[in-house]
Amino acid sequence: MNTERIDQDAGHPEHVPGYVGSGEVLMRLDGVSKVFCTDELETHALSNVRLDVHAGEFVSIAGPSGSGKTTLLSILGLLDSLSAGTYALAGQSVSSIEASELPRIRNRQIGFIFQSFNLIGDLSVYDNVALPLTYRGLPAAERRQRVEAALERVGMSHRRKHFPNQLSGGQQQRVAVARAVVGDPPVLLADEPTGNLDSRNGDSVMELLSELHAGGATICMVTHNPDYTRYATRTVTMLDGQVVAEQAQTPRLAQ
Amino acid sequence: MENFFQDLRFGARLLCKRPGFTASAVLALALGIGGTTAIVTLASAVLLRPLPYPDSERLIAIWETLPEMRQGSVSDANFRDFRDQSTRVESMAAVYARDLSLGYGDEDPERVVGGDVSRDFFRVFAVEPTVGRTFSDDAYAPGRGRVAVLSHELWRRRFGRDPQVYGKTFVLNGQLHRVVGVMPADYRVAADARQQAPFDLFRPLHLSAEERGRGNHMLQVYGRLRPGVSVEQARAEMDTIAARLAQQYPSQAERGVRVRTLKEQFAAPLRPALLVLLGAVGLVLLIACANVGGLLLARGASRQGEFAIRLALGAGRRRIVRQLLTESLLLSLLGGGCGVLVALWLIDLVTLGLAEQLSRVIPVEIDLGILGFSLAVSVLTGLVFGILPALSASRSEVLLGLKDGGARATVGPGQGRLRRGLIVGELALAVTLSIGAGLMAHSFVKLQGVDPGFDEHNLLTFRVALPEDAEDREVVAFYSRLIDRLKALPGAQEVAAINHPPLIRQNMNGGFSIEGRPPWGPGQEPLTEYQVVTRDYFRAMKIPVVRGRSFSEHDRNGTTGVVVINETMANLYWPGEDPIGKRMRTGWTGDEWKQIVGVVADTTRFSLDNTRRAAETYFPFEQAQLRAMAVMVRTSVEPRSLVEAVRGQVRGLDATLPMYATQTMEQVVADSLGDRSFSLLLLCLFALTALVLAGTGIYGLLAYQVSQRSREVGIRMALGARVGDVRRLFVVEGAKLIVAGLLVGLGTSVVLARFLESLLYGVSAQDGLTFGIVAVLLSVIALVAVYVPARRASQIDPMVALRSE
Repeated sequence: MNTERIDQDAGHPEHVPGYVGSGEVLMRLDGVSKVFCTDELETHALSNVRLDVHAGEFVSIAGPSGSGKTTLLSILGLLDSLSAGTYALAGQSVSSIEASELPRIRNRQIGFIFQSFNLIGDLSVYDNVALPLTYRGLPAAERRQRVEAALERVGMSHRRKHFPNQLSGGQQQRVAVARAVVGDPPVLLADEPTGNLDSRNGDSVMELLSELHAGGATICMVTHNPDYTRYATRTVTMLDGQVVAEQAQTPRLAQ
Repeated sequence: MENFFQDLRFGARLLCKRPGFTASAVLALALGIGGTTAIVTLASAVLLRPLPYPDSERLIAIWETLPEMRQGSVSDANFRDFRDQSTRVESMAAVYARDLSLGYGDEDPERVVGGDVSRDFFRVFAVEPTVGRTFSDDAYAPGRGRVAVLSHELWRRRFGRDPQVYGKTFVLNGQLHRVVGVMPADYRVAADARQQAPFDLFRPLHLSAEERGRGNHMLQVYGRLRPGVSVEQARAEMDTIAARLAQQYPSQAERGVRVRTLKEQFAAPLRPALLVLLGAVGLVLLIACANVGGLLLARGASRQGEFAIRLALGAGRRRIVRQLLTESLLLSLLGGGCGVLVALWLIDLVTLGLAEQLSRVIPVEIDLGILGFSLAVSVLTGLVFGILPALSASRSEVLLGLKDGGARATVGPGQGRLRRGLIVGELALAVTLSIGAGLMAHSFVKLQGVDPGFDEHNLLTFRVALPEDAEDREVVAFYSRLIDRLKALPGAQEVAAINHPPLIRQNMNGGFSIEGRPPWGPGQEPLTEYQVVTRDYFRAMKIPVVRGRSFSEHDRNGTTGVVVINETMANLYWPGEDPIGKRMRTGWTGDEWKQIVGVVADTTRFSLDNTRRAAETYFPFEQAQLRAMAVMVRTSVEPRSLVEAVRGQVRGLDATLPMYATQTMEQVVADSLGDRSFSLLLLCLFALTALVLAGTGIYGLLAYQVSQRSREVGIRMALGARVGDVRRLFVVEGAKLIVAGLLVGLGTSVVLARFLESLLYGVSAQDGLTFGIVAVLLSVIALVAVYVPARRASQIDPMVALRSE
């Protein structure tokens, strides 16, 4: 294992040995901090984080509970705001984007995969997957075509009329992956996508993500499972809200 | 049992820990159970509970009928024939109600309602006096009878419950009377056909030869059926007797007889309004149940973790349901307890309005039976609103509940059905009730637009009754002086008097003949209302004289007898002719022909909703003196401000005369709609309660829905939904439920509004305007209740929503 301790003041980690990517910086965090305040307590969830994610990268974010992994992912996904620092997505500073524009960007640029799948119980598999396209305002015919393709891709087209509670955990997560990719976003953010799955279903989902990566998707994935970090091209390790290590690696390819 | 008390203690602790939830639920239940208890109390007193007399189901009231009159007083001759010929009525008695002046010592005289009763009167009711005795046969001998039996109320009010009252004397209509007995407190026989005021005292019935005639209908008749005889059998027998009398006496040709149980007599006028109000409180109770059901549903959802732990520890689902039902019952019993307090307040309100007079005849109070009913309603209510949320909550998934509250996917497709059903149900019930209230309100507005035919504004009225033995000239002199004195009061413009003012539901009528026309056939003699008025009456009332003239100072005793008739009379009996100068004769004023000198516009005689116009004949007071008259004072100031000055003038003329029935004519007009307006008030009160409960219930259920779906909102936002998208999602979902609730409510209203038909005036039970206004109003309220949670949903921070995983 080739691990290097990062000096947070040394600049962006383009120099990490073994880095695999297209070279174009898709997401750049510079000195990002996130502080949660309550009446009596300030919690520094992120502290002076610097991180570049290049197009085509598969970044695995690891670290113990409370290290700031999910907060980092939320900031990358425009779900949360920064307390300090800058974040540029596709070259555009996020702080310069109007709040009303954020949903549109999330819809077009980012696909989310959650640990708890987060499918909407009232909607069928088909409708769940179609949801991002509905918000994008695509015509019904195009929506249908894309949804069919996405479900086909994750092997769930035969379950399109089912409701989430009629599916197993693995199947639900496949549907969640289909929903994340149906809008063809350049970035996929996955927060412990295998956390609620058994090893067989977990492997299957990781194979799926690996395929998507091989197809050109940029993926940032939070995981606790060291086995699954091997699918990534780079592993970022966090501790106490800071990126404490990065390791570039040759990813395990989808079988 | 131990488990039950354990559940009870736990439930009580939970209720104490969540005072907001507890207060909302208890308030909703108190309103529902309280309203139901109050109206059921009234309905029970009026419709169900037997009257407070022994074997009261055997008591009947007997009336005479005419083709155009469903029930009227009975003549003494007919009463005696009914009594003597009946074999199925064990005892029958008559009472003649009189306004009497009770004067004693230095105190102001008081007007009391006296009942002059025939021999068997007290035997019919089978009630013995608590003090003294009733009348001996001797009291009915000619020249005797200055004795009285007091009602309990008069004994209490004027004689301070004096147990030694027997034999004491007091002044009644200027004559000394001796007390021989006092009736029990619950002996409250009504003094008029509308069953409103109970008699204050009783005297032996002594009628003059004229009063005993077959054409003089003035008695109320009561009877007690023989044991085993049904009212139908008595009715058949009385019909036979009436038919026999009709053959025997031409004047009775068209007359029939009506026999009703005394209970029916009391209950019939109030039954339609009571049934509507019972329906209304039932709907309020159902809305309250739905409301609390929604609250419990929300609370059950927030306790999924607790149920999961209980299930994990070995509790069966039945055990969970039982625990939740125990908590529901505790809540409903608390609500029921508070509901009884609400009912007590509401009963006070009801007895002040709808049944003020009635409640003096029939006691309206909460008894053990009603408390038992409230308890049963509370328990039933607890089961109704508790069972579905309990079943829903008991379906917790143990593992998911323990791990993450079942958050793998958001609320499933079937889990929202109960919530949606509650919303649709609450709205539909509120629509139904509001449409009922709306129809009544619309009807009431129409009634208020009815022109009574006189100007009721700035008009004071009161009654004065001179002793029956006063001489005619004394009577004329008294009223003449009184009117002159009152006219001189600052603020008084016109003063006049009439025997029965419009809209007070008392009248005097009789037949008449027209000069030069053949006599009416037997039984075909038409009726005209007899009105005795002083000469300025039409001017004081602002009733237009449409032809001829009004009365003048020349129309007095000894001059040509004259009358004024109303337009209906003129059109009915002189169609296409000018009645001025024509002559007519009435049975009441003897053989003298009376010349018609004027025609005046019609007035509404009995109530604004009675569109039937009566033929009326006005007699000048100086030619047809009556002892008891209503004085009308047209004022330039607020009429009530003159009451004391007027009383001073009456006292100045005769200190022994009570001035009674003092009110403004605006009040008289309003009172003529009294039952109707109070039913409307109650119905509106219930509808308002329903609106508030439904509005807060819908809001609560939707707010609960938003909180349940906050994760979904977070997901949608993460997927690109904008604020507007989220808001629209909830508003559209809410709007669908509103439309469903409105449709169900409108459909139900179309069916149920038919039951209101008898209470409506000038408005169809399917009145489109009312349906439309209620639909719009309810839509607005429901949309507000939908919009607020929707707006809150759109402000959910997606990160906070998703962080819960």
